[in-house]
Amino acid sequence: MYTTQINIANILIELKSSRSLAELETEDRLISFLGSPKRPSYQVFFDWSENIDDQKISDNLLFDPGKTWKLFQDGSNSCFVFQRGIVDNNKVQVDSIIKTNSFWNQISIFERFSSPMFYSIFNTFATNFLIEQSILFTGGVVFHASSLDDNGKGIVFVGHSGAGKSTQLQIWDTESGTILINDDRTAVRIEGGKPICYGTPWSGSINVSRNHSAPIKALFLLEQASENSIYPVPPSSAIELLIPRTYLPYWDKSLMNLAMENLSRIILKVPIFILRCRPEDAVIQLVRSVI
Amino acid sequence: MKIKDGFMLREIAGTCLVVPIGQRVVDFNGLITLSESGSLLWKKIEAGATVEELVHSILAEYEIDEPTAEKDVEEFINYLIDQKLLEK
Repeated sequence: MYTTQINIANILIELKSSRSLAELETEDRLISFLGSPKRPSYQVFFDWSENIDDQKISDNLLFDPGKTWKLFQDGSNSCFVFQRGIVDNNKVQVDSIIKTNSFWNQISIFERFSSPMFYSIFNTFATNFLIEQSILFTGGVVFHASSLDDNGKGIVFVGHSGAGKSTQLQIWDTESGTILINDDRTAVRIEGGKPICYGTPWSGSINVSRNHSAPIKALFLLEQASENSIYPVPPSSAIELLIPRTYLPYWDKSLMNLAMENLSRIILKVPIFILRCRPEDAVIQLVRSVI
Repeated sequence: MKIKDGFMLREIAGTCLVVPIGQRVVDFNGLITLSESGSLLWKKIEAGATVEELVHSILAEYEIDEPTAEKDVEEFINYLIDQKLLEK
């Protein structure tokens, strides 16, 4: 049995697994996130094992987004079932099962290990999903956003795919004193009254996923445009734009309420701007002019 | 008259939003912003109010005459029907 401590956004994940991180193909992704935070905001106990065929699945289907997974409810616990379409004897095979309690701090994954072409859901969806939900219990959310630290000032660029999140980091890459944090998923929470952004292990097209955090100076809703412009958005208008760009637990009313409370607090603490821009260096001065 | 299951009304940063939850997300992928009076009517409909009660609730809250209140309520109900949020 392997025991691994993982620190993502100051959340301590204690993983017990019957395979090593290397066998789970997740060592490279998590290597800079290994270890324990000094004072974790939340602690999650996470088990990975292979006895998938022994698992009973509740017949109470709660949510089917029509993708590769379905959510079943079993009392107060949730059970996510993944099928990647591999057919065995005319029956679609279940590849992975995630079982979690309602606080997202006791989680089990069951998978069917098959070397050498094994791709564990632990590598992407499971841990990613875990942080998106467990962070809700710490006052945070995960945005579809890139982020950087400009000489101690956290900057978050929120946007859908194709809005230019990775491009922004490429523009800022050579700036003195700038640390690129993440180019696709950024965790944000209020700590001691101050908004902080955290890098996560899940990156976008330029593969930036640094374990780094910074106090946020501003959040920018990113849009591509033929002319550069920047203007502030009041919280009442920003909310509609931010919700579709936040990873939210739409399947669960109580978690959604928590997410909305967290989002509301963040919006009231962080200056928000709409940034319409071309992919050019002039954006740097434009952003710095408002932070 | 009943709000369909799978929607929740939340006030966030001074804005009243209707957010789909659960299986409803699959066929309603968006958000609806309600005005202050829209939010009041939504809550009343959730509580089972009739059209007449909705009109009275608007009259009690805002300084408008009854025909205007009736027109506002009718428009709001039609809006909810158009958005497929209401079942009769």
